[in-house]
Amino acid sequence: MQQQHESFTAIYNEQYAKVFRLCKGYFNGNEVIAVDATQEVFIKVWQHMEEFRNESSMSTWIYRIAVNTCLLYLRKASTRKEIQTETFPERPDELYNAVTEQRLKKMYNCIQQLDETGRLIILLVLDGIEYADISSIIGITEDTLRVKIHRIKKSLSNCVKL
Amino acid sequence: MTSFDQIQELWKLQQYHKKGTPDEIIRRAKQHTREIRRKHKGIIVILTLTVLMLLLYFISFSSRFANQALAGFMLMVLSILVRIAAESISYHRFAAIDIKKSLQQYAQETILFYQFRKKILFLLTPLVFALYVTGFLLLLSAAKKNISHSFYIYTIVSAILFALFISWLIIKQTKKEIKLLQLLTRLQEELKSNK
Repeated sequence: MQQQHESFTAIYNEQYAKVFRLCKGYFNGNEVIAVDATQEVFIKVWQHMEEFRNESSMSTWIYRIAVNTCLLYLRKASTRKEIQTETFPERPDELYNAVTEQRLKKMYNCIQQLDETGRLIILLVLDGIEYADISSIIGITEDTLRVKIHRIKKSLSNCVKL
Repeated sequence: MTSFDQIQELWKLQQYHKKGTPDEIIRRAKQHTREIRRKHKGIIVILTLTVLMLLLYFISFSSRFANQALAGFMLMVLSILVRIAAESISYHRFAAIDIKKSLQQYAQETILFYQFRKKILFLLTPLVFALYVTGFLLLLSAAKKNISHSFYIYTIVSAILFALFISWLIIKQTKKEIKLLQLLTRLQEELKSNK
């Protein structure tokens, strides 16, 4: 039990930022929802940890849980509020300047305009996940994935126009 | 540098805020598991007690009550039991969906679940509702002689308001689940297409 506890702590510290970025991107930059959804992802990670069979990397396994959790997170709970596209948390952060924040806001809005699959795929691409792993997380062949990524990248780049 | 590289750089600039430590997450996960077990036991206890009470009531009062009132009462209780059982089955079917599978497989399993829910909402729920209303009307008409006119009117009005409220809840829930089923079906189609 102690060993499981320790490995969960290590996984949590190592993977938190990645899962949080995925959730934040999926929920249009809404940090409050992203934090709660990330917490839910890790609750599920803990609950299923014993079932991890090393068939994929731990990171891929966690991304699968994260993608599936985000997909239904807002929709299955009636008490949770819908995402408002204009919602963007104000956060006085020294490393963030107004331009970066504005660009991020635009990027979130552009991601939001993609279709459901496109949104989830690009969030994984943006985090630098290998195509083979994305293919395993999403459940489509690598060839199909490449076609989709090409189209999504083009669409996103046109929208953001940095 | 391409535009997408710039987007990726911007993406990595994001910072994150943590809510809770790993210990807190574990505590919440354990609490969640305990709550599920408690809820499951609670449903079994309610179902058992209701059936026992029903049997007891039937054995004790069947000779004294009018058959119509008894039938009405039985129908009402039966409809509630069926509804609780359907919700319990739904809950366990949803919990059994494997969240560790790929998005495509997860979506497929969730679609099957919501198709099952659709059957409950469109077939079983109206049937249960009709059973409940029939039971109520049978009971009410049998009890009419024994209650005052004002109380009789009050019972009818409050029952109509209750029925309207329940119908509104069912319609709201049905719309939400249908919307979700449509989204999942669309997602499946997107995943299957090569575009």
